This record gives sequence, structure tokens and C-alpha cells, in this order.
Amino acid sequence: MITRLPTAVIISLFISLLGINTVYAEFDVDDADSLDFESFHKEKNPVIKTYEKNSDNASPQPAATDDQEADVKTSNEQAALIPKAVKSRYEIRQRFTTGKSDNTSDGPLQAIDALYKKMATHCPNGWSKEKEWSVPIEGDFYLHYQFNCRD
Amino acid sequence: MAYAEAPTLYGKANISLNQVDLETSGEDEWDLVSNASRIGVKGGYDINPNLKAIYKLEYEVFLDDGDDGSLDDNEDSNKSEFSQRNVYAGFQGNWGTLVAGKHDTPLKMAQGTVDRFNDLQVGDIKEVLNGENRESDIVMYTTPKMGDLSATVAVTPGEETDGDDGVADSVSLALNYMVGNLSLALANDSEVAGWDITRAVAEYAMGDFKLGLLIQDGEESDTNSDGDALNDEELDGFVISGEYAINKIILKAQYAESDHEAVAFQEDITQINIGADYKLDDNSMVFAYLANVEHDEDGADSEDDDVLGVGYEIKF
Repeated sequence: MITRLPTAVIISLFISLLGINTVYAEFDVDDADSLDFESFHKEKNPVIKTYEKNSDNASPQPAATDDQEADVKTSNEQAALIPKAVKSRYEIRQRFTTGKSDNTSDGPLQAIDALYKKMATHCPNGWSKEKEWSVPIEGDFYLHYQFNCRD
Repeated sequence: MAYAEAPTLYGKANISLNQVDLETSGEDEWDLVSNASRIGVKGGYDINPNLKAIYKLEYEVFLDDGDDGSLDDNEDSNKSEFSQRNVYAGFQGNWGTLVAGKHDTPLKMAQGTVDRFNDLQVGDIKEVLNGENRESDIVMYTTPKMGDLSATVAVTPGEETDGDDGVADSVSLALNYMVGNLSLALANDSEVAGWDITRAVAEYAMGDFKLGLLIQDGEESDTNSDGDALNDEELDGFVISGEYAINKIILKAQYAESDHEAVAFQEDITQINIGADYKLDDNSMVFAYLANVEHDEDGADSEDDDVLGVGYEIKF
């Protein structure tokens, strides 16, 4: 006999496989019952991409291939300008090469080391890493981390 | 190439222990009730700078017994743990939002937060007024905000139900105006669930004090799909509600009444609710409420439905 019980299991599996973000949707359930689709589909807690120009405000940003120090400083400036509820979610990246490169001498381990130092600077109280991924760039790779701070 | 944003999970668990005394159905008992607890997934991605694909899949979950009550069979294996709420896929841009799926009508959603006992047993305004419809096969368009004004229109094809085969056999629309602490809405249903309804809503906030007023005029649609005249049933009414926040406590009260008339039938329905929420933090609260609905039908003894409930809500 076919039952409906597997529906719950299937949906739960589906949700877990998608790696759905459960951390930052605290107001979505209220927005969901309004006709303001614009607000509902707006990211409630946007990720601060520390390496992007004009990511959240007009503060000067480091170049995409820059290293940690300027990057962290800019992010801290950003954090002071945005509301508490949205200030602690970041995306950072570090370039690395698996061979020889004119742009970086960092290998994967150095990139990871650099990213962990960035996270420690952003989040002195600790952090939770949401995801990581890499994208190719001119024969090298960017290693991206997305994380939120434990406030 | 555009990548889809990770889906966002959201929802709430709302459950209460209710002392129930319903004269209309003869129930006098304690019930554990899941008050429209739900889980939803939303997401989307930018196809290009002016076009975003969006979706939302929201389901009611039944915390009390895992049963949506849609099946007669009492065997656990046949219980439905999820019941579809608002689900859609669509597109969004600077031209507005277009979605299709199953959704609350614009008229229903125009109520805003006037119903301060929304989804609570006997406390919901659906005990007094109609028009609280979630329609299948709905196509809905919402304009972008034009200053303080926005509008939503929804059409539903009949899909041969009762002979209706047009693209817009039911139409629901709403105009919303928001300026400062004042929010106004005017909505209309045409042949939605067999009724034509006009609803006007006003909400105003003054510091910790909030007021809401909803006035509604409804009548059965003029004809059915075969062209037979109906129009023998009317239901008009209003809701007035208010809340006052004292630190973490929100005191709430609501009064509603309606006049329900048909050819050989007349009934006055009155609802009185009071309650208090205590916020534990931004996401959680405990609450208590008392709801009474009186049905006073001509030529019959009046009947009262009463609920005293205590519960909690956790949003995520």
C-alpha cells in the first residue's frame, strides 16, 4: 500500500541535500503572508563579499587579488555601517595555484591558512562556515569561503 | 552563467493547548492544536539584471498529530503530514512580480495584520467573514511600488470546473497604499469561490499602540457557471483590533461581527478575542488567548464557541 509518510522523508532529504541555509531567514515567515513579493524575495541577511567593489556601501575596496590586511580592514568598516542583524555574514576568497603562476605563489594550503586568518579576524568569537567552493581564474583558482560569525 | 541562490528555509512552529467549548459542534474538551505551523523554502536567481527567477514552496505541518485531517482513514500510515499552502514559481524585475501556482488571493492578503488572532482556533476572522481563500491554478501579478502605492491582480482559469473554461473565471485584486505609519488597502473578489466581495482595510501605528480596521461587503456571485441566477446570500461585516506593547508583553484585543443573510435565513455572528503575547526573544514567544464567537440565528437559540488557549511560537 502506498502511504504518504515517505513525502516527509523525501522533502527532508531534498532540503538537506540542497544544503539549505537555515540560519538567516528569521523574518521570512512574516513576510511570506504579505503581498510584498519584493521584500520577501530580498535577501534578509546579505553576504558581505569583502573582495567586491561597492558590495554593500561605497567604501573603497581592495583589488580582487589583494591579500588579507586591507580586505579585513574594509570589512570591519562595512560592519560598522550596517545593522546588527546583517553585519556578520561574509564571503572571502584567496587565490592559489596548483602549478606555476605569475599572480600568486600560494598553493592550496597557503590559501586555506590565509582564509582561516581572515575568518579569525572577522569573527573573534568564532564562526560557522556555510560553504566553500572554488572558481578558475587565469590558470589559477579562487578558493571562496562563506561564513557567519558567532556573535 | 547565473547560479541559483541557495534555497532559504523558513517557517514557524505554533502550538497551543486549548480548552474548547464549541456549542456549534458539541465539543467540550481539551485539545492540543497546531496553529498553521509551517515550513517553507524560497529562492531564486538573476537571469539577467532585469529578470529574476523566483520560487516559493510552503507547507503546513501538523505538530499535534501529523494529520491534516483530509483523510477519513484513521490509520497513521495514511496521514498527510504536509498540506500545501502558498506555492509558486515566477519572475521578478523592475516591472513587478509575476507568479503562478496556488496562493492566497490578493483580497485575503489585503487584511495585513488586522487579524491579530490569525490562525488561532475560533480566534481567526474566518469564523466571522468569508473571503479567506487560497486558490489553486492562480496567476498573479504585482506592480512594483509606485511611490506609496502598489497593486496586485490575480486570475484563475476555471479549468472546466462547473463548466467554467475561461482564462479569468475568478478575479481578485488589491490596491495597497502605505505612507508613514498608515497603511490602507482596497480589495475586490469577483466570482472567487462563488462570491463577490469588497474589502477595505486600514492600519495605523502610534508608537507601541497599533490599530486595525477591516470592513467587508460580500454577496454570492450573480450567476453560476450555467448562467443560473444566485445572489440570494449576503455576508457583510467588520473587524476592529488593537494591540499595545509593554516591554516584552503585547496585549491584544479584537472585535468582529457580521450579518449573514439568505432568502430564508438570517444570522448575526459576533467575535470577541483578547490575548497576550510574551516575547522570549526575536524569534520565540509564549501566548495566551480567549476567543468567543456567538452565532445568533433568527428563530433559533444562539450558540457560543469558546476557546481558552495557551501556547508558544518559534520562528525560524
